[in-house]
Amino acid sequence: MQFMTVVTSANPPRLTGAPPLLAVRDLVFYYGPLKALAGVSLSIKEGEVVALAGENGAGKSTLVRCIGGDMSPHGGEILIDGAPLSSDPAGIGRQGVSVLWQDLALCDNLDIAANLMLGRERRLHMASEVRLHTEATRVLKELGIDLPATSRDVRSLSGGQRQLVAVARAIARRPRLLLLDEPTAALGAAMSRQVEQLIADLRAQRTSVLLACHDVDLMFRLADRIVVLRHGRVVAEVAPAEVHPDDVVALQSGQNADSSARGQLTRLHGLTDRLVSADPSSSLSLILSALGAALGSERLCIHLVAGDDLVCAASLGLYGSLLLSAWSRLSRGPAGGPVGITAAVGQPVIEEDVRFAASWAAFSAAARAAKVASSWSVPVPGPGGLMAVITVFRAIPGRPTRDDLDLVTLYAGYAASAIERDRLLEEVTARNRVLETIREMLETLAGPLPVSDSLEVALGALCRGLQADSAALVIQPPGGKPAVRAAAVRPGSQHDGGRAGDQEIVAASHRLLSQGRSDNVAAWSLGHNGSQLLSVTFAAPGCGAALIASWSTGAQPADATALLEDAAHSLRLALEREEASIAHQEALTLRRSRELQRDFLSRLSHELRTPLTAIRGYASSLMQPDVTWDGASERRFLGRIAAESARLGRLVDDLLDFSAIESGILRLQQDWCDLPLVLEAAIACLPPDVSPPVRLSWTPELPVIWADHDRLEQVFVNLLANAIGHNPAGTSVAVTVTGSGPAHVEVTVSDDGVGLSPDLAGAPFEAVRRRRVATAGAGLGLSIAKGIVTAHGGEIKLVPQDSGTCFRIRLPVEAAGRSAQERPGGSGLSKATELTVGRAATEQTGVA
Amino acid sequence: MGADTATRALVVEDDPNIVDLIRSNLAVRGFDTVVSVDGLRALRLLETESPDIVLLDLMLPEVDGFELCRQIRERSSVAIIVVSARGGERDKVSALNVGADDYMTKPFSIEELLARINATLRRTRPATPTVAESVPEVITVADLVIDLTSQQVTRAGHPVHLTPTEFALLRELALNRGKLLSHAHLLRRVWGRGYETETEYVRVYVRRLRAKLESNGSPLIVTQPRAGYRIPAE
Repeated sequence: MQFMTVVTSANPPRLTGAPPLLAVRDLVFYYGPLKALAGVSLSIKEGEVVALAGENGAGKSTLVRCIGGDMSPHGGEILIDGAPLSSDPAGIGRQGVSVLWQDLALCDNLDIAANLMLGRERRLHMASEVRLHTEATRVLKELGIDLPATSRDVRSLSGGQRQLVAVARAIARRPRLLLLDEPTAALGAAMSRQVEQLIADLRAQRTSVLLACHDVDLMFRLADRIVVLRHGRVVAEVAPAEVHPDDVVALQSGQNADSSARGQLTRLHGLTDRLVSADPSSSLSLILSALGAALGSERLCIHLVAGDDLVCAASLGLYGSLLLSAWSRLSRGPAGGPVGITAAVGQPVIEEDVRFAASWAAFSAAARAAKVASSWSVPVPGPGGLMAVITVFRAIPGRPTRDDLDLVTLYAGYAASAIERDRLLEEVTARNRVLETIREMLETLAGPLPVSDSLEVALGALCRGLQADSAALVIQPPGGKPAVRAAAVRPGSQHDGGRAGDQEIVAASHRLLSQGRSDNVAAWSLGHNGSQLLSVTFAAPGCGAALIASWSTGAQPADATALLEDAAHSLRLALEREEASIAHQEALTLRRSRELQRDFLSRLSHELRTPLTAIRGYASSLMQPDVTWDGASERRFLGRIAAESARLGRLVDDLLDFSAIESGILRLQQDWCDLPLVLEAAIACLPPDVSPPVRLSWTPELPVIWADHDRLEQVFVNLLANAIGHNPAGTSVAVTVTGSGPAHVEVTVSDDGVGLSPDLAGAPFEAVRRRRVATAGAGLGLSIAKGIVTAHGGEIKLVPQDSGTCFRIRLPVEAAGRSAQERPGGSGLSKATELTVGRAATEQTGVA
Repeated sequence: MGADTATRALVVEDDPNIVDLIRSNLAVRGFDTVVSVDGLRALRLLETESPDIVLLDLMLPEVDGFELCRQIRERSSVAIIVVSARGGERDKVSALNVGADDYMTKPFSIEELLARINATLRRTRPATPTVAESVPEVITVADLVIDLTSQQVTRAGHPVHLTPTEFALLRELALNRGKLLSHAHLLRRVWGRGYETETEYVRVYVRRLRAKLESNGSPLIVTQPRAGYRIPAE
């Protein structure tokens, strides 16, 4: 059994989407009867440096020659970017593969430049010697390679210099995959460093490199991955970060590791060094591989205690085996095989021959498949009892030596401290999470978001911090029912995507709040569906509140109660802040409304005083004892007094109407009305010289409607007076009457004038919102119009449009609730009916 | 008021009836009247027509009447009577604060309008010394020098600009230095008969005099609560 892989449960093999740059599958090559490659598979991704390790004759050079196209394999395939490797060297070059041969394939009869540019002369059009040398010098300079004049024969160069020429030639082609076979073997230390730097630079430029060499330290410095070949097979693939160079050496030789005390000591030192700097999650596999190397055993695994179970946390040499899958989780006790028994008794369990061991009975098939003949399991004791079990597998029956057992015990100590370190780290992380949660909640709640928006965000943070399925804030107003104010569900939890826990939470909060509790103390309870509920009640402004977190499965953090109590405190402060903000908003609204009222009154006072001022002024002028007015002045004064008195009268009427509408006591004198007649009457009320003109049109067959003729006339006078008064000459006003279904009539009053001012368009019918306009009037017209239309059971709307103003009035033919029986037939108000029937759909121009 | 020379009134008002009313009544009494319905034109007419008195409506379309009043006062010491439909105390004080000399509420009678115009013109025109009163030409109070003849005031040698009403009030207080002058007395003497109850006129103008003439810590005019004001004797 030669195959060996280091696999850690923390780092499962990754799947990659794109094909690797180089994929070698089941490659076989014979030198006569000798099998040099016996089914080698490996792959290299773009920008990856993979080292081929192996002793002489392990197949490294053969593999490189096959990939470089120098030899054709007898089996298997080589793919570049998923396509088969070209069969001729030029094609391979085009595929982006460049090779630096171990035996220096330089042409001794050519100079440096010719060797460097070999095969590229034509492509570069280097007809002239001068250009060839210039280009060669440029390439060397760019690569930072220091060589004598490019016109020297390579024959005259030292071995190291020849190697640099070869390296330069391989690199100068800017390959995507560079195959290097012992690139530094012939070089001195300085030149080795130069070549090493070149390879590092290539990797930085995303060039992939397959590096075949003997120098394990060089591999550790350069390679992302080390593939170990032995006897024409891949025996291991390791990452330099996870193993020790010694392990690679041991893997290459396939010999038992140096088991001398000195060797073991060196190994231990190496292990402790690496453990210090290693990522905690990889420390167990490091210890395992170090132990494997120390024992010279290739297959090991370690199970961690997890409650009543034992979970395989790392294994060596078992990847993909049936045994590993069967042993991924074992129970404590006899059912758990040798591992379970070791955990139960706390003593090593040694099975000299698994075929006859009762503990292995349940796993005999897996043992046969994995060729396991004997095993020994050793407990890893920790400060709080058993922490783990390490199991070593052997392919031959027999007992371990005393030394081997001691070694495992020694490494078990390391494993124990690694596990302890992991546990402490987890604890610190958990504590950080709690602090992070509280911080996140506070930041959210104190942030610029309105409290109502930030509540859910804060509860989401709480959910994550508590690892709870859901969290909810429930509010109960005095005498009211509890209601979920805000809730959050942890993504991926059972409740994700729904609010399944809401009912549960409301029920639980009802229980709590009905007890009148608000003690800020968190307490556990059991939900109806078996979920764990943690709740805390507190006094929010004006109501009782409960904060509840729920877990349907999984563990609750140890400090969940403290966290929830803190969270409740934060929420209470946020709710108080919200309360204050609402009160502030209400005060603002009230003040605004008072300002509007005051503004309205001031405007009204102005509108009433203006005609009064004229009346009083003209009257007092006429009464001046010291002045005798001429006849024209006197007539003018009296005329103005009359006009202003009338205006004052209308204002007072409007005001009375407005008050009647406002207090809901507007009385309608309803009868059957013909709308076109009403409109004509309204147009007749306008000043005789109206500009713009009013165009009136209606559809035939308009029904008569049950309405107050005078009041409707008032509505249209108001609308038309606005349309006329606010628009310049050249614009026009159109009034259209149409039926709207059997039960309604619609009147549209539109103009193509200046349109309403934005503040007025916002709320056209609100008396108090209107600003003063240049023309007289208290601005009550639209409010009164709306009041009258509403009293008729109709509605008036400002229709948005680009220019001008358009009001649409929809009136019911009969007010709801009125019996249709009263509707006149051929008699009674037949005049109106006849008028309606008799009207054609002609257009009339309004009174001019 | 029987005007010897034509007195010129600028009427800033948008209601054609009130314009007609004021113009008719002022015309028969020998006034020239110019009218503006907007602020810019009013300021221009102030320059070109040099009116003796401005009748200013506070509620003009598109114009803040208070701001217009302030701008007129900034440019000129012309007499300003504000004519407003707003009768609130606050509006009255605000108008006086931005430089109005008088404030009249709509509706008003023509007699009231004419009386106020006359009183304001009398107050704001250079005083014609009466033979009966013998008054000094210059009064000095601390670093303040009040020249009654030229109507100039300097403080520590620097000229201080006072409106006619402000000057009239200062003159009255300075002439009666050491004496307590009641609100009613000041109103009658400075503003004229019929103004005795307009206590806030005195308050506003005393505040304005203090702002212009007093430095920190040395009060020029002393308030006698609920009684009146005086400039203390030396």
